[in-house]
Order: sequence, then structure tokens, then C-alpha cells
Amino acid sequence: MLIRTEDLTKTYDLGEVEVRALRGVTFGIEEGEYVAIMGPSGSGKSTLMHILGCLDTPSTGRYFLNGTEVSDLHGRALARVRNKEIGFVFQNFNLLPRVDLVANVALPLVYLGGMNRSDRRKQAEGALDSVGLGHRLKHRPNELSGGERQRASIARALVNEPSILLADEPTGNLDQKTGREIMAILDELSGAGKTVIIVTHDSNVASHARRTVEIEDGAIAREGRA
Amino acid sequence: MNILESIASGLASIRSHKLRSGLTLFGIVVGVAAVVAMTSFVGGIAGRIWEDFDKLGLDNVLFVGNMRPVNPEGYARLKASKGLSFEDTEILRAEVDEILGITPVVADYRVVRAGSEARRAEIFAATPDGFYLLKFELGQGRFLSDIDVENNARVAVLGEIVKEDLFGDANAVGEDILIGDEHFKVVGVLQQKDFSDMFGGSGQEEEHQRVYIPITAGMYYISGTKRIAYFAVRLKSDADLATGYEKIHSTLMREHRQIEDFQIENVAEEILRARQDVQQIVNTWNGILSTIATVSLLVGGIGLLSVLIISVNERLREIGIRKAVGAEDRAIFQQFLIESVTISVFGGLVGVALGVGLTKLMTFGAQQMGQDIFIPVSGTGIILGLSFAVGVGILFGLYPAIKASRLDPIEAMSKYA
Repeated sequence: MLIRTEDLTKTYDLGEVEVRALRGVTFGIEEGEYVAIMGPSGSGKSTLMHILGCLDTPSTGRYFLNGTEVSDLHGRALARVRNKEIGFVFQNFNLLPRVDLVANVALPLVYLGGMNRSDRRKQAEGALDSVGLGHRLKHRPNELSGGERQRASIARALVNEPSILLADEPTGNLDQKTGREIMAILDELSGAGKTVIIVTHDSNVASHARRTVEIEDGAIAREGRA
Repeated sequence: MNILESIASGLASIRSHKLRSGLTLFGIVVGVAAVVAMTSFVGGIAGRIWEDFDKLGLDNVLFVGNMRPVNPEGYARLKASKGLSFEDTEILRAEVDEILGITPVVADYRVVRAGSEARRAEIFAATPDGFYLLKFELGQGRFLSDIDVENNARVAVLGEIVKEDLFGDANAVGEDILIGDEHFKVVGVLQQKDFSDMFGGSGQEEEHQRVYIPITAGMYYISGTKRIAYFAVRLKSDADLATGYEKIHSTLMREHRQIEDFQIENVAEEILRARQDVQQIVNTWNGILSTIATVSLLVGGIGLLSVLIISVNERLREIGIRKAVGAEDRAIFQQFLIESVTISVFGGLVGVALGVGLTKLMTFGAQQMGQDIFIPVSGTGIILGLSFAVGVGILFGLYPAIKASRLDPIEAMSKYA
């Protein structure tokens, strides 16, 4: 089991009101699975994604990643896990505007440490090549189309060869045709054995996954398999 | 993010916000320029004054002269004493450890002739000790020697002005001169020392108006008595002035049967006091300089601080992204601190350039006003100025760097800046 959670809860203390974003989520994801986490906005799916991506920690409950409990890690240790195990693909791409694509994609390798600049760039160029951007290496994000930017962000997510590719509404900012191209890349990665988790409210996107987990009111409402 | 990339990022941030960086850096530039220019100025002027003091050569020097009678009773008392003698110098040299060198001096005015030229000059009779003791510098020929003293040799060393008057540009060494009616042979000529304008030529005029001869020849041919006019004494550089003074005084009192027929002129003490006065002025200037520098660097630092806070706020998403892909807090902290130091050191380098320019301008200005002063650029000032810049970069970069490093990645990424 690559991912296993036990009764995850997350409560936000907003002064007078407590918001219970997650109310006990228990589930698992096997290595190589292609999973869609679905739910309307405010359902808690983003919170769950943040915890699965080690950007946040649960209030209670346990989260095991690759057999290691990461729910009680903080700061530096959590940053290491993000760096090595997780590849993020964001709805709004989240590329650094001031540097070229190679530098953007090489960013996780910078924080991995132990690689010199030319090795990092070489590896980043390989990742960009694999998503069909081998001809755009020196371009900055604002010189590219939305689809190209999202492909670059997939390349960045893959460059560290993480255990999990975690995509948050990956087609949310793209037109339908470009969205389909991006999904094709994710399908292909899944086909090649990568563990892919998509967080989305779009059932068309979710239909690409072989398994869906629906979140409502901070808990799992339904699970289904294609 | 390694150091080079952080430095590059700092430089890029200067480039992309030229006006803002310029305004920020203004305080640092002015502060560092002030440090460099003022350190150079104070150091240059003070250095020149120290040099002049050294050349004057009167550090640790005392003169022991005969007491002049002030009333008939004193006159009677002094009549009974033998006065200063050649032997006194031998005894002082042997008994007072603090003494580096001592020479008896007999001096009087005579007309000096060479060929058809003649002038009046002070004839200064001393031992060879006197030359290095008073730090005279030789231009041509040789100084007087111990053998000259032993032999009552009629040889002379000329002060440069005397030499000019008697010989002009012609060679003097080996030539004959007449001192009064006695024939002397010139063996050497003194060299003038190069004093700065602020000191004038003071002190050295008179030593170049003299003719130097062996003490024995002086007693025999000039004064015609064994009485010595005065002693010039130099104490060792590490000797305590007061102790040296005291020992000379008590030794002479003993030798002169407790009759105080001599007086000690403590030139060393005066020079020391003058040096202390100058040092105090230098310290005051350094205080003013430090205050100006500190104020402008603080102003510069606060400017830097505000710009860095703006920069962190503008780059929240960048920080969030970096953290999401695995940057530790420490890496973000380091990145922003290095950027801060890069910006401040950049300002520091501009400040150094400006300070060097100002220093050169000061030399140029002084020379335009007819002052022969060269103010060297102070290396200490440059190091000090750059250290200040680094210090300001670290001090005022700390808070923004800590702020950036502690950001929550989810919140930071959700900002659209």
C-alpha cells in the first residue's frame, strides 16, 4: 500500500467558529493506481489533497506514505518528503515567471541537493522532452500557451521521479481540447505504471481514472471503479 | 538554491527595480562613501603629521643647559660651580640606562669663508652621536667620526643653506673653509628633509644654517674653554620619560655637589603632548565620521528593510512554489538573506567607488589651492565600509528572510501577486 490514511480529521480554528474540513477519512491507494478524488467546492477535497501532498498535516488521525508515518512530521522532514515523494501539478501551473522552463523544471532538484547545475539542467531538459517541450527549453512561462505551461508543470512534477503525481484540477484553466491533451499525458503516465491522483470536481476528468473517491462534507461519500 | 543563484537573484532584483533599488541603496552608498572618504582624509592628514613629527626627530629628546643667573646671589652661587662638562656626558651615558645617545654641544657664531664668499653661521661643535641623535640626514660626504673628536680634527659638516651660500651648486666636500681664522676641511653636507606645508619648514631652517665640527675642535678653537654650552640627550624609545628625566637630574645634582647650575628642557614631553593633541583631534574626527556613517547606514538599512519586505510580499507565490517542491525553511531564509547582502554589498561597492573619487577630489582640490598634500585612499576605510555594508545587509535582511522562511506554502501559493 503506497498511501494509507486512518481516520484523518482537519479542523480550522477561525476564532469563534471551528471549521471541520475533514471528519475522519480512512482509505488507501496502491502503487500504480489512477485515482480521482472528487467533490464539490467546500467538500474538503482540497484539504485532503494538501495533507496527501504533505503541504499540511492532519489535526488527528494517521497518514502512512510508502510505509512511513508522515502525519507527525513537520518543517524540514515534511519538506524532504514533498521533495522526494510528491510531484504536484496545479490548476494555475505555479511556474516561476522570471526564469526559463529548464530552471523551473530543475527547481525540485535544487532542493534535493547533491547535483551540480549542469546535471540538473540536463535532467530537466529530459523531463521537458518527455512532455513534448524539448523545443521550448529557454522560454519563459509567459511566452507559452496554457497547455504548454501545464505540460511544463507536469515535467517539473516528474523530474524528481516521485512516488505520486498529485494533480489539482489540472485542466481547470485550459480549454477543452488542451485539457484533453493534458489528460492524455496523465493517462500515459498511469499506463507506464506511475501512481496518479487527480483532485477534481469535473466528472469528465474523473472518468479518466480507474477509481473515484467522492468527498462530501469532509468524509468519503462514495467510492467507485471504472 | 545555492549561493551563486541567490546572488544572481539579488542582482536580478536590483536590475528589475532600478529606481526602487537606487533609492534604497542611496543611504548605504552615502554611508560607505563617507567611511572611505573620511577615513582616507583623517588618516592621510594624521599620517602626514606623524611623519612630520618623526622627521622633526625630537621624540625622546632632552636638552640640558647651563642655568642662567637671575640675581647677584645666584650669580655668586653659579660662579662656584664648574658648570656642564664633557665628563658629565660620559657619566650620564654610563649611569642612566634610559639614555640612547648623548652629545655635549659648544656653539657660537663666527664668520665662515670659502674663496670669495662669506657669511655668518652658528658653529655647532658636538660628538658624532649628535648626528643620529638629532636625526640629521647626510646629503654628501660623511658625518664627523670619533677619530675626528680624538684628534681635534679641523673638519666640518655644512648645513645645506650654508653650503649653498658658500659654494652654490659647486661641490663642497674636500674643500677648505675658514671659520674665524682657522682652516677647516669640509667632509660632508647635510640634506634637507621634506616637510609638509602644514608644518612649514619649521625646526630645520636653523640646523641648515650651521657648521658642524668635532666637540674637541669646538672647545679648542671656538670657545677656548672646557665649559660645555648644553647637552642634547635622546632617551630610548621604550624608556619612561619621567624616570629618565629624574635620573639625569639626580646624577647631575650629585656630580655638581647639589648645586643646581643646569636646567633640563624637556622637549620630549612637549612633543609627546603635541602628539597627544593631534591624536585627540584625530579621535574627535573619527567620532564625527563614525556618527555620520552610522546614521546614513541606519537610514540605508531601514530603506533596505522596507524594500525587502515589499519584495517578500511580491514573491509570496514564488516562495510557496519553492516550498511545495521541497525547499526547506532554511533554504528560503538563506536565499533572502543572501539577496539582502548582495544588494547592500552592491551599494557598498558603489559607495567605495564614490569614496575613492571623493578622496582623489580632495587631493586635487588641496593641490589646486596650492597645498602640497596627497591623501592616499585608505585600505582600512574600504574594508571598514564594505564590512558595514555586509553588516547592514545581514542585520536588516534578517527579519524579511525569517518572515519569508516561515510562510505557509498553501497560503503563499494562493496569493496572486
